[in-house]
Amino acid sequence: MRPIFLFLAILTVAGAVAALTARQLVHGALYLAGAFAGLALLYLGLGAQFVGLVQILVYVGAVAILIVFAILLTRSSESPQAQRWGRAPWVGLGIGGLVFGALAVAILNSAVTQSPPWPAHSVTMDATVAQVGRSLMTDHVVALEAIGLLLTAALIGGALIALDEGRRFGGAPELGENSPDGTVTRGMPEPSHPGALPRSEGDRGGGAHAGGHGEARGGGA
Amino acid sequence: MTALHYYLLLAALLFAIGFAGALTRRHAIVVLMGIELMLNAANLNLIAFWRYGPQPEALTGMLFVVFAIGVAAAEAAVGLALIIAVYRHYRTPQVDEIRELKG
Repeated sequence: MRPIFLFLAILTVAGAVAALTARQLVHGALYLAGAFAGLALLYLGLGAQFVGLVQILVYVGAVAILIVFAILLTRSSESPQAQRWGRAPWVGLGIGGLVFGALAVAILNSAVTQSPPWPAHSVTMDATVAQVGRSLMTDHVVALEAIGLLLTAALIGGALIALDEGRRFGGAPELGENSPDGTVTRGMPEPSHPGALPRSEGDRGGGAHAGGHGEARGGGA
Repeated sequence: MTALHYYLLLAALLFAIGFAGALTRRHAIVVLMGIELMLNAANLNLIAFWRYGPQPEALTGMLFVVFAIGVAAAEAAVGLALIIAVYRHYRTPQVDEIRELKG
């Protein structure tokens, strides 16, 4: 075991633990970005340059920022001293420890530990980006097309899911005139009505004020 | 050189950490972060087996990871959009307070 591996492993594991136990969610997102960066360096150390750089681009660059945006959009008014853990955290920790113990026993008893530490014929091999691109365009071109389709669907679906409910069915202006929920609160947490389930009650009330019109539009869409 | 089973142990540890985090925390975004950690642990396994495998010049394991990263990015985008939509509806991101499917 080389010291660089030990360092990167400790960095990654510490980042992961800190990300999942952080008191402030934004700090957790930054620790998670650190863990992802440690994993990217591990990939680079294994000779997978392309995957390491993709990991930095996608995870450290995009997913971490996406998580920060989601945290800011769902920032609740409750204090950070609110209950962070579920009802029985020891059960979850125990299950996690059991999973790790089972995997570790399986790994240490398998034939993997007797394998040579580094295969001789692959010492000089490193996968250049040109090789990766050629392989993507010839052997794996169907998977490449499929993942393009999946990413397009995820883009459209994510935008559609995150849209406001009133805006999604194209009836925002009429809804806005009839109910206060339609225009005032778009995309932003509203101060809730006292003692009411905020959004669902508000929508139902708005629909009642608007009469059958809103109901018909909702059913048609 | 670092032997293969150290990478496998590290991946198992990361998977267990992400799993325990996803099981114990209440905030939906932290649960999603745990799931992302589990996906990354699987990717580390794939890269290590590709590198130490009999035919690393075939690039199969590496391309598997590239596609897995693409799928995980799509999953993160849709998952966070779902969390935002659920938060708008229930006014809470805590997963154990979201008890009913009825909107």
